[in-house]
Amino acid sequence: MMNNAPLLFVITLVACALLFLGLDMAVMKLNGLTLLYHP
Amino acid sequence: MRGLLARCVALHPGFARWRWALSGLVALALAAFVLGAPGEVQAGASDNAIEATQPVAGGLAPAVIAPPELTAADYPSITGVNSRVTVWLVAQLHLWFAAFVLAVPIFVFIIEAIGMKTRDKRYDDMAYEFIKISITAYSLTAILGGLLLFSLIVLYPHLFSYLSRVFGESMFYYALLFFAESAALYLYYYGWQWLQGGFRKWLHLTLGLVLNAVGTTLMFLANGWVTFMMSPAGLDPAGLFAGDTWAAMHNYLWNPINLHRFIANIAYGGSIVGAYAAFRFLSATRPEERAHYDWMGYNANFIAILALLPLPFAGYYLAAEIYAYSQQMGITLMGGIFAWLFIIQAVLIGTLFLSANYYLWCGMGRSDGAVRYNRYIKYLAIAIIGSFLVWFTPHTLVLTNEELKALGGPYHKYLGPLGIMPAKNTAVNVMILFTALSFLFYRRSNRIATVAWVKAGNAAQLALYTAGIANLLFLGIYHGYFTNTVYKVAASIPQVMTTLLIIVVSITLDSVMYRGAREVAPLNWGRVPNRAQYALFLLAVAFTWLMGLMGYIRSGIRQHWHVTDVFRDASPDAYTPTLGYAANVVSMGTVLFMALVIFVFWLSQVSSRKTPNAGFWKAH
Repeated sequence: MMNNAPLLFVITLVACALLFLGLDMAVMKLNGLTLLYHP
Repeated sequence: MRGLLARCVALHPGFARWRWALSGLVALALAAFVLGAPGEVQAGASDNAIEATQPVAGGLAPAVIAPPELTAADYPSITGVNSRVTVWLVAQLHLWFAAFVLAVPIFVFIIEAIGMKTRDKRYDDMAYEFIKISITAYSLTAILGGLLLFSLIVLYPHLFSYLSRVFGESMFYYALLFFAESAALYLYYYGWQWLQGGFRKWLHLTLGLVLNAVGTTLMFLANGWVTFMMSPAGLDPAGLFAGDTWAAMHNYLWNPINLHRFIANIAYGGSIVGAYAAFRFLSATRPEERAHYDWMGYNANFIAILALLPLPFAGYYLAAEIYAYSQQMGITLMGGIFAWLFIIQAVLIGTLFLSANYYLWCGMGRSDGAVRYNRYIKYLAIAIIGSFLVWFTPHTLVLTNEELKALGGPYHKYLGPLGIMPAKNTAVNVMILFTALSFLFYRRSNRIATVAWVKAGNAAQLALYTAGIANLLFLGIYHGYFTNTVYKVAASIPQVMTTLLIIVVSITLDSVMYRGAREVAPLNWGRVPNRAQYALFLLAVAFTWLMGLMGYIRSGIRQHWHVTDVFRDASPDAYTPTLGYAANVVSMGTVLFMALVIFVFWLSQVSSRKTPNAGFWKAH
């Protein structure tokens, strides 16, 4: 798998996207908010 | 303790000689602590700050200090001298030099530590060359500090009197620390060649640390006085100061300014050192001299970029705290007259990023392996310039009535939305990320990774940047345009964290990937175009101008108050000048400072020149 760069790119992209979304959610929650806006 | 000392003596034979010196230092520090701890500085003779005592049961409460109520007649004037411009320029020049003499030792300390770690003497020589320049700049800082003090005493005696009553204690310690800083600086400089090798070198590095610690503490003290004028604390609702200096010092904006100035000083130090290297590079006649100053310029630019990357976040934190302290002050800052100066600020910050990147791209010419990365540079340039354009797009424009009608209102249909903060936050984060990427390419340009997982590592890097930039755009666009203000402001925090996370992970990953990498060929130091040196000059000038401009804004948002909402400015100059006037004063200050800095650089060259004098002196 280490030699399959496109596959690794997709896996890392998904992992990083999830990580960043988690970070966004955690910070917004700490501010008493949600990730998506609910008026 | 005895065991520890014995081991030290065994490990370092020279330690025995140092124990007594160390014991003396510890004793001095203890004595200073014991003498300094409980004392309170006695207030001087009564002056114009109104002092009152309040009767309480069983005696009198401590003296309280009320801000004086002044009229224009209370401000002395000197014929032909504009008080505000005088204090403005002198204070600004003092601050620039203070930043110089605080910043350069930080730079020198870092370079000396790198030299110790790598055992490469070139670093040590470069650090020494810089501390030599600091000595001349230090004298100028002290002279300008004295001039500022006299200007305040002569031209704003009541304000100075009030502040010295509130901060008398800290001013006393400031003076003591100034002595300590001078002692540390002179020991650090004059002891450079003496304290070489083994334990002595460690002792020298420790002196550098002490110098920086004292210098930074001095800056924190002065920051307390400045921020008290912006966000006064330690006062009762009637504006009376009851004697708690720490409360006044530890006011709302103290730490945000401390953080912002500390990081900015490192970046500024790098830029000034870079300008010096460029000056010497352009005036060098021998190839080895050019190589040396090229190498110096690169190191200086590297440190400037390293500190420049987190600087916008510290600035954002300061601005957010100003809003949190007083919405009125915040709106004056970024929504009122001063908002236009932020457009100039944006252009200058963009200039900093562009010139730092341009220098890196030019510097890739030193390596024969850079050709592999040249084709990517144009994409970096497009991303950085695109972000720069968004970064300085104003929300509204200065328009004539005809233009307003033609536009259909004050906001441009497409460019208007780019004028709000979420767009700018996104742009600056993207600009920072692409600058980090420029640096990554520069680092890689002369190396070939030898690990088996190079392709996988590159794929991971690409994915990290792609996901991170997508997250920045999501936060900026969705929260910036489809939610309310609370969400807009809150979303800026994960944006900052995303950027920092990408930089840290990417640098770590690259370091592991390029561990044990092969060099393409030895780097050709000195093989860099002259225009790269002008980019270094531009970096230093833009930094200086920016500091002057933002310093004016920081001070100007107090408007007609010496101390916000507490001590009113009744002088004839208690109004906000026009933007053009303010920009001219800042420009004049920048030109003056640059002229003095060039003088300092020139002096450093003169000191190493020798004129043959055969036949002049009598033979013995």
